[in-house]
Amino acid sequence: MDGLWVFLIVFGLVGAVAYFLYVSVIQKRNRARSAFSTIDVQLKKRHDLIPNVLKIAKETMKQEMTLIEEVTRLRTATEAPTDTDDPEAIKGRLEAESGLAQSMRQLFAVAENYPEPRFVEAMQTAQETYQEVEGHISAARRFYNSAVEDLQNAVEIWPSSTIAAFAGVKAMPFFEIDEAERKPVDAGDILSG
Amino acid sequence: MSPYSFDPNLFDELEQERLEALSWRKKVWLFGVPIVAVASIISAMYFGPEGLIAAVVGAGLTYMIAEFKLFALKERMKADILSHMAEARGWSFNADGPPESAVNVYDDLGLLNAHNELDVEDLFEGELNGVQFELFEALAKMRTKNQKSDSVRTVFSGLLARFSFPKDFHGSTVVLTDSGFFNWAAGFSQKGERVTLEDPVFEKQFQVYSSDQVEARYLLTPTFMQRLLDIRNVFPDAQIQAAFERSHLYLAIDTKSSSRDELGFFDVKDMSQPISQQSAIQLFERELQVFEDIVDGLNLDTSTKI
Repeated sequence: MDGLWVFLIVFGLVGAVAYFLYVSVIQKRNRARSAFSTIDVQLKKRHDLIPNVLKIAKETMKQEMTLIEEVTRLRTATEAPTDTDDPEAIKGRLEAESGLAQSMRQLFAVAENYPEPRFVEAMQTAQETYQEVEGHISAARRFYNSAVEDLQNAVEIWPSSTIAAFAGVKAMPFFEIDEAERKPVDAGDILSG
Repeated sequence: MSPYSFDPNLFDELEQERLEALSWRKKVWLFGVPIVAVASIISAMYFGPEGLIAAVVGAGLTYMIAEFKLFALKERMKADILSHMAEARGWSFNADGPPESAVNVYDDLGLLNAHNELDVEDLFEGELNGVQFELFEALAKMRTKNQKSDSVRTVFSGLLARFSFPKDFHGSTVVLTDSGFFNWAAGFSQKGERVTLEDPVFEKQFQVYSSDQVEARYLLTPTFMQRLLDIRNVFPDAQIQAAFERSHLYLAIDTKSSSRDELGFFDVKDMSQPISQQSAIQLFERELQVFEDIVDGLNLDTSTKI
């Protein structure tokens, strides 16, 4: 009889620990998903700004049509909804967003070299608004990466890794800044290229 | 910011009063000490050892009579000098400080621990590099009484400042000094959620709570975190805490001194020097420059908003 009690107590304790680990893993996954939604909201703000910027750019930057078309293409590519259950889909989306950000930075850098004062002024105003949104994206990205790090630790470190495997919880990709994005854009390179 | 240029004739009247107060002190001591000494001897002869109490009371009274003019002048001198320094910078100065209710917001944000005694003074208000600010000294104490004893503990002694902040935000974010193992206790008293930031040096020095995880990171950019760390170099022994709320940045610099005299900010320490050679003037100037350096360091006027 004593043996049965010991078994029940140990079983109960293991079950309770497993349950709390399960709750913790699911909470971390949901937090990472919620953080991704926050990024999504901020990225949507960026997407909404781009048509206005392109409208200003198209009128004057006729020689930069390749760059303008690239921005348009990347914006369209990032418009599709992302499956938050699929880490690869998230990764692809975040990479496309990084590419879009890089193209936008190139566009603003090139615009600074145009001689028309009214055009430069209009682009500067657009860039200020764009940078404000970028500030929010950067904050959302840092929150997302922090949530992803917590999730990754839970998914990779035992014993929660075992629970995560049972529950089918996978790590999510970090939203990293490309090396190219870290460097200041050299408009001279773009124009000569 | 150009340093304060001192007009030697500006304080002629005060200098005259200082000389009169010094002369008064000299006279009181010259006549008071022999009178107290004789009175004490007579008192001791008549009343025995108890008569010495009269000597102590007499000495105390003599000291007060000798010094009261200098004490009063010290405060006026400080107020006059600081007013001129503030005026030269286009600021306003009020030696009495703000109404005590101005401290409520610092209490609500958790920048000050619980207190039941408060003393505020030396309020500066104005604009610096396009940033609206308010700065004042505060001394907060907690007096506890029980049947056996009455104890007083200083909970805050230093500078409180409020700055307009260039970013739009709606929540509340508080940056507290890291308390190591006791961080959980700070968490209980904070309304928001703990925010873990990516800079390990910042995380070692501070703990952040916010009503909005993303907004906290929007306000505390890596650059701004570094700026807060840099303020620590200006006040290495002080406890620095900050909060963002209602379009403002609040800063509390606790120098951990236990009395007004120990505060070290804006006090005339030596009345024996002529005003034109007062080290207090250089000291006040240095203290105001430290404050200006803080505003410069925080780069609150930045148009890039980082």
